[in-house]
Amino acid sequence: MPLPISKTKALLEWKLYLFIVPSVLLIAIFSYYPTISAIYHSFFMWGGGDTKEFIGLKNFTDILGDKVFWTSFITIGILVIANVFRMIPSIFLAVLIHRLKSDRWQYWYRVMVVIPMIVPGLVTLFIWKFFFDPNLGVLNAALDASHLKTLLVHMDQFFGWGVFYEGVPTAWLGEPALIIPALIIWGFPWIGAVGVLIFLAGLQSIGTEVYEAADLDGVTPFQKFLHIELPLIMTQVRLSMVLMIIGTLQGFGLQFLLLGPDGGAGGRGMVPGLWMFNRAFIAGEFGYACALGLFLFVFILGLTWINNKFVKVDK
Amino acid sequence: MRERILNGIGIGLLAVCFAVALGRILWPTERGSTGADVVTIRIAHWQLESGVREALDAIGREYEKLHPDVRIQQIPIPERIYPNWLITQLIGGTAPDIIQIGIGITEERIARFFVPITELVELPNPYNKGTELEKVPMLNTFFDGMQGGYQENLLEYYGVPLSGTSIRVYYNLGLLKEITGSDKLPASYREFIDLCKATLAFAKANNRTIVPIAGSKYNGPLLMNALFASQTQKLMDQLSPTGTLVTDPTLTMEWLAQNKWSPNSPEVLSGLTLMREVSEFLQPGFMQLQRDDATFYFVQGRSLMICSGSWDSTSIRSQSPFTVGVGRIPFPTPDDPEFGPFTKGRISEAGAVSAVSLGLTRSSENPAIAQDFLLFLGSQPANRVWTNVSRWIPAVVGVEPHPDAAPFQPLMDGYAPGFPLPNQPDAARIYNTNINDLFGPEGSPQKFADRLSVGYLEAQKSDLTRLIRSTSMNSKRRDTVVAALAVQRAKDPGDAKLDEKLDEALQSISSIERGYYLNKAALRATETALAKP
Amino acid sequence: MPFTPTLRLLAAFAFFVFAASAIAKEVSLQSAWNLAEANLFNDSNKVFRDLKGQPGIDERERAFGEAVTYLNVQPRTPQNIARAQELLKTLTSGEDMYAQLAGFYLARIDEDYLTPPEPERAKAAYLELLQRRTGNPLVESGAVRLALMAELSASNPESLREALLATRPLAQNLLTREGRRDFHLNLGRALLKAGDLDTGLEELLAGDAEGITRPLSERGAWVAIAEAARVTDKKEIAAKYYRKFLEKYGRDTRSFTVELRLKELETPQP
Repeated sequence: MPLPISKTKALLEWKLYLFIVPSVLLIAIFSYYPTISAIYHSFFMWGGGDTKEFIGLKNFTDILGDKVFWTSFITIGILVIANVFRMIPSIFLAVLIHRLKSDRWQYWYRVMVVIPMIVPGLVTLFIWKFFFDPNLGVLNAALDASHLKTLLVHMDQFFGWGVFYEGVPTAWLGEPALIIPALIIWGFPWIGAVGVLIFLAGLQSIGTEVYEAADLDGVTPFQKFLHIELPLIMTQVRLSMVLMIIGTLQGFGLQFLLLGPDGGAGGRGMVPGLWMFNRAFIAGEFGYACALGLFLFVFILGLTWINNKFVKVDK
Repeated sequence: MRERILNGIGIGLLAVCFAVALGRILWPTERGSTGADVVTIRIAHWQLESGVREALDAIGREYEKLHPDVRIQQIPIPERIYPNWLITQLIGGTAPDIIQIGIGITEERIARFFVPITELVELPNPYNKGTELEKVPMLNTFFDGMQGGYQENLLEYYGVPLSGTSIRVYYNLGLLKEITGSDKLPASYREFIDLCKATLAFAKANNRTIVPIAGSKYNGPLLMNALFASQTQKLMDQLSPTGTLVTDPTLTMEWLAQNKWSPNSPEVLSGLTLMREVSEFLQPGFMQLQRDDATFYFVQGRSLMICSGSWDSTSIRSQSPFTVGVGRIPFPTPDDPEFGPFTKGRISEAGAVSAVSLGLTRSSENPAIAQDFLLFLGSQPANRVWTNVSRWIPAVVGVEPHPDAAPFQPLMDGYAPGFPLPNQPDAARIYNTNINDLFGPEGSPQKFADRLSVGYLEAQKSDLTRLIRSTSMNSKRRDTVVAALAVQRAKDPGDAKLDEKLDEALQSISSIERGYYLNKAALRATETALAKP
Repeated sequence: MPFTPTLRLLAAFAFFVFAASAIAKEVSLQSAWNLAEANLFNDSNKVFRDLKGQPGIDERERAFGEAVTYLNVQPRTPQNIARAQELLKTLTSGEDMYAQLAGFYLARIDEDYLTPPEPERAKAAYLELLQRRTGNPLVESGAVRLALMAELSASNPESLREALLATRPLAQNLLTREGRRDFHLNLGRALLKAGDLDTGLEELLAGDAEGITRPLSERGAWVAIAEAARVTDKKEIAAKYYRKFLEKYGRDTRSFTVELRLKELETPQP
């Protein structure tokens, strides 16, 4: 830990502080200034141009009566829960890689998991959009070829969903009832490179003596995972979960690209971030969108605080 | 040692890249440079469709022949990023001399960053010398009086438009001949539907994947909304017997609140039935597809037809390996057994406004030359080059369209369209998120109409509230401007120009105020309707 | 702390930035009005304020300019509106143009700038100004506002018609062509909407007689006159205005319909 220096010495060496000025400036301009501007504009009726009118707390009181905004939390809640389950394949793969005896193979599997990261997320989204195409998409083609479509049609007739019909291509992004399943299915098999690497790092910090002791006790592989590996990587799991929840709550790029600014058929894909975008760029209510953003920020901050305070990890 | 060399190479590369980037920013050589006695005029736009860049290049070369000391440079920007690019350039003071006005810019920014050209366009265009337009004020040399370049709320002309626009149905003539034995286009709505059915039968019989009409959430509504408007023509006459024969969105909303029409009105249900009938010939799930997907379908020969604008003509023709035919949207006629009762007939395109409006920026380093080039762009000779190279409709009177553009010339012989369903942001959201209830095996016009009936009034309330706010802001902005004009006119009573401006401003304010109060009346009617049990 | 070369460089840079921001601009009432006309309200307001106390400046004109630009200085805040009100109140005494315009803009502030607005106070102010018969077209535009507010105030078709007809006498106070034209046209439209076609037609004809110079307004008015005349069986007026419309605005979405209407009128009845 660096030793503290006296004030006089710090003042004499003031030129050294100039080295942090560029970073501070960049953070101030690109992070803090937009945030402060958004807070400022949330108190105005603002159309995005130079004209604005101060309206006090009206934007915030309007949020209370905004049905679309509150309903969007139901959708985002479903997606958050789905994303918790979507973390499982990454954990599973990390465990599998960790248990490989050969270090060389471990390395190559890590490389193979990381390589897809070079494909920009946007490109992946567009590829998935093509997968969902009712006429040319891979998903419908796969369901037809595997006869799963026939099974789905029978299930539809039994449950009365009204979305799967024989001989009619399924519009995954065009049917209200299929919007949320489509948003959950996308990204299959849900293996995120960053998640795998984080969990792998956690697993590799587990000492071999723990495994040796487990072997001596006759613990099965699954029991090892359940009672040794999972508890010891809970810090990483918790970190991933916090980042995932924040990302899911704030995010709307997925929904915007796949469904458009209205949230798709029936508005089923509307999430708070997308509603904020809709108000700003479709309705032209930038001031109101800033207020929504501020509300979302406070909400996420509250959730993070709850998570930090009440979700404890026993080591 | 090896590490030092590698590190050195890395730092060296970084330094070189940084120096080049810095140099590009600090010394943009093309920015109105006057090196070697050549002035470069930059012109930016978002029209990446085939033919446009070539046309502007050709016009630029023609201008350079007349002015060898000037170079015209084009900067095409993708539409998706155009608004962001535009604002960055304008605020940064690095904007090109001439920029296309239309998307991504508010009126305040137009006033702040662009030069009004009203005085310029009220005089004859010197580049029309030797033509029949030689003595005609420039704004009257455009088919619409240069409406496409006029900023209603700023009371000034800011842009010179280059093109007209229209919507048409494109046909794969080779496939048409295969299906029907002839390349004759359908002349009526019934012939159009029969052709669609014949296409489906042909595809089934020959085991080919062909749909009659390529659709997407862009192309599908172009066709369906136009057809819908044919069903509310007579209704509009009934609702407003002494109206001005054109639709007024605010009045449409007020009538909805007063229950003078509703989504369940026979005319509206007929319009929705018409939309559904046509939708059965678009590919399933078309509403989740993008414009490019539909174009792709058509040029790949997977569909017989596609509905799109004249602006896509050159792109579609150049990408299609087959001959493309162009026809008008086939509206139902009054004698149609199903859709005839509510329609007066085909819809006039005389209301079309000129497009591709180019404005002069205040930050231009060579405003006189840029202005001169703008005049050249709006001249008859240049517009002739425009239509011949881009194959788009000309905007200047007396210019014969290229044969490829001729089918797109707006046709005047038709009735005013009926009113569309409310399309302000929140009403449009109700429409867009429920339209799947119109299409598909489970959809029906009644089901969709019922959904609209539930959501429309509430959406209308928020749309009208927003409209009232925006007309109020507009009106307030005028207050200061008209005060300035009034004071200046009082100080200089002989100034005819000021007289004209003040007169125009007063008429404009009167119109805006009428709109403002009409919006308030519509909102009151909507709130009354919502309060009813 | 030693005044090192680095510090000197920083100080020189800061001074340069400060000096550069105070570039001399043309400062005069005319330039201020030009800026306001170009929608550059913040800049205009600053020039008006900078001119305060300068010799040779018409203080009433300057104060009026400062006040009306406050209405649109960004951001628009209740404080700026209050400043505008204060300044305008100081100008209302007297009979000159600034007194009249100050009264008009105080009424405008009551009508639309306050939260909540004061429509009754605005109406009283517009009426009082009209009764003064100022001959100022901007002040006379208050008559249009009174007609529009009357239209909004009515809750049923009958009371709407009465409220609108009650505003007709306001025309006597309008001395300018612009004032009369805009009032007649607006009242005419409102009466047509209320179902009183005969009186509405009279008003529209009176408005047209004053001369409509804005093409968009003119074509709308001519079609409305022709249609109202057709429905009320005033065939000659209808035919005249259909013809005028076609001659001047042949390229319009309504032209085809107007041609058909004209043919119907010109076809002799059996």
